[in-house]
Amino acid sequence: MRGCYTLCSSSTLSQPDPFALVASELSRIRTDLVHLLGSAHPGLDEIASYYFLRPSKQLRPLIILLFAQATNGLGRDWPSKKWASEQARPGGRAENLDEPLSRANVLNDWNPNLKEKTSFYDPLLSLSLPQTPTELPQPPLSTFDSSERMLISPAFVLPTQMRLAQIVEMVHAASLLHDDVIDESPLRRGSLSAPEAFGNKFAVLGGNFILGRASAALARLGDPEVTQLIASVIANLVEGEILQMQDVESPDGQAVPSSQVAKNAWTLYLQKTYMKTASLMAKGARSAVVLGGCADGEVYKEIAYAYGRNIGIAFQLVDDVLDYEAVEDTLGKPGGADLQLGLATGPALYAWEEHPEMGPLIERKFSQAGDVELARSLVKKSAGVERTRALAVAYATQAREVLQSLPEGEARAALEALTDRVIKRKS
Amino acid sequence: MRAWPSLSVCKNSQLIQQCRKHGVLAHNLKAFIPPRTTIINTAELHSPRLDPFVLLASELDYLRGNLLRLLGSAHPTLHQLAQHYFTNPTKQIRPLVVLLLSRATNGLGDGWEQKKWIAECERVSGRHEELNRPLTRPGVLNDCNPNMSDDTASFQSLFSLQTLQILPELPPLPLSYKTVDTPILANPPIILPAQIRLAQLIEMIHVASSLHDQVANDTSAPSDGTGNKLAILGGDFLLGRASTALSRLGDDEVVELVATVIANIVEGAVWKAGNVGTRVVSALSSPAQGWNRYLNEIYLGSASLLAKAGRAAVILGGSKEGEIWKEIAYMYGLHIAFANQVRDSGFLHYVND
Repeated sequence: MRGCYTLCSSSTLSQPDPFALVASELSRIRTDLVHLLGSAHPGLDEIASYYFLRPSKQLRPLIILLFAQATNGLGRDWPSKKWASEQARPGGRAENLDEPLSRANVLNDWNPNLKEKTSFYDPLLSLSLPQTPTELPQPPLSTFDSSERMLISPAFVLPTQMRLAQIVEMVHAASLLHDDVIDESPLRRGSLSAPEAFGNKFAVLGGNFILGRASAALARLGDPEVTQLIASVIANLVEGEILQMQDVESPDGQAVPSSQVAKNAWTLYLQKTYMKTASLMAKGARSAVVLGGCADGEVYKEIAYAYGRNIGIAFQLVDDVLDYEAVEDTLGKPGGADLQLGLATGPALYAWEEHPEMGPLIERKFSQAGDVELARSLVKKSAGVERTRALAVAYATQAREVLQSLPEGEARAALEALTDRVIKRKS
Repeated sequence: MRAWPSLSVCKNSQLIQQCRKHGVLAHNLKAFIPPRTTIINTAELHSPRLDPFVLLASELDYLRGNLLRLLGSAHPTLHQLAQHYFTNPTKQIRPLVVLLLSRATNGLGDGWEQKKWIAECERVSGRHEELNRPLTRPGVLNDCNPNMSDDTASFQSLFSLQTLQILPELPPLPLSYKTVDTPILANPPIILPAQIRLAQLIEMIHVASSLHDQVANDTSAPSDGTGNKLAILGGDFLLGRASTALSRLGDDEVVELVATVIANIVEGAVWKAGNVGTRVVSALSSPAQGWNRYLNEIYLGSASLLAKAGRAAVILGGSKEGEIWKEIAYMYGLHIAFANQVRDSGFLHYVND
């Protein structure tokens, strides 16, 4: 019976491929979103689209699309959202999502890919009385009926939800650009990183540009709740980076960390992980469900948030394990990077519990000569990697648990299968 | 340790004394109560010596104090930024324009009564200042939605499905609020909290882009690690908070305006740099094209911010589509920025505070 997956099951034949279910939507996401980043300056054009021209897992858009399919039809306000998606108004049809809310000659965000909707600054601009706006079409009364809601079949994704998936990818790419400069990474996804290709400053500015365009697109979705959710992620990302810089105290020197100190180090690590990785997935998924008409007091957006948060943390924990295990060519970026950056992740924190001498190394962020090698060998001696993997499995299982409150269907099954994939991946 | 600034730079002597006493910039500043707007008598309007900085002195000091407090509370590393900002304060021209335009137009827009009402409700319900929330706040729930709590304690266990809740809505505008046919300026003049927040976030965006502007491009130079990282993280931190605050203003039009400013500023910087990456910018074919490019760079790099910030302020005061007030604000911001930039002459550089 669907939904009864156990981790011992080695047969993946009955498990749907989550990516296959929304393959055509996924393939459109990147090509379409590069459209939004067009600029008159050819160099900026190049930087902004740089990370989108290389293959990517597209995990975040996947979660959004799947949740859209798994919940569209269930929310109280679904009928009015469905109605709106066919209207020529903000938050309406796909082509209307690029309509600016202010006049083009006010915004002056010229985009050669959107020639009719954007404009270049005109020095001869003068003050003129604006036209009174036309009335927007209002939903018919039938959209407010209170009959029981059911999952839409066949599965349907609203234009706004597609656009949200693109916005989330843009926010993610912008954060990668900044991270690669901060971490001084030479490679990303097997090629030169943006700072290596364009220099530090322009990689940073490229990230800001993408963020600006993404935020404008967000406003045009016309949903203040979603705007607030995604905007808060932008803050979360950098605050997670700052949290990561916080010193882990090892006040007992060489002793086994007291339970309080160990607990502090762990909760800080998980909080940082949420801010940097899981927040975007959790709030992205929640936003998708809100766009589908889930109202306050309905469970669907809580399910989405809980799923995203748990799977996001699981994903990062596996990432941290792979940093210790994998070799450069499967990862696409150099392995062993975390220790080099002075970061104590799951395996190191577990190793600390088994080997007290790890404490001072963590505290000084592996900065002395020989620290990195010693730390690596201590982790290897300990059960750090296995225990981190087990924790990832626990989080993934939790993600699967919260899905059980959704009605069964292909999209829900795909989301369940995704929790397995996140754990089993090798890169 | 740098010398403290003289009194002529920072007008609030109480602020300076407190900083000196505690030797630390922002941590020990008490919470400021939002300032009451200075009321002037109309006879003074005709005085040639009306100084806008004096008119809005308490608001500007409030904004500067908040920004310091925010930077100081984030992380020890970002302290350096707070110190730098304290000893090299900006003239706050941008917030000044936002606040002046607010004061000059509040009451005129069709939606003014609604905006005033919302501000009153928020004041009574004790809505928190999201913008100034310190970075680490142990044990305090995310005050916007407890179902998405991200404080450290919430990570002690796996995250389970949260109980449902319905967030309270604002009460509707009472019928006793009259709408007037001829627009009248609000008297006594007031500035809405939302407009003050806008002024604050505009300044944050400006400081953030100055920081990012300082990032060194060369990746092969021996890095001292701290310089670039501080500039990037500091700028990002301010942009992140500004984005959150912007979204909480609750107006899509305003979000769109400010978002395009962020993109415009980058475009301005890139045009200024000339060739970036592998693609080449086409050479100028005529003096007219040269002028266009020059003026466009000024627009992107500085005028866009002032024009759109002014427009946004007036929108927050309830100016509706079809009214002229926000057009006036846009034009004012646009032209004052151009005047400032061209006055500075030289060639193609940003407004220096």
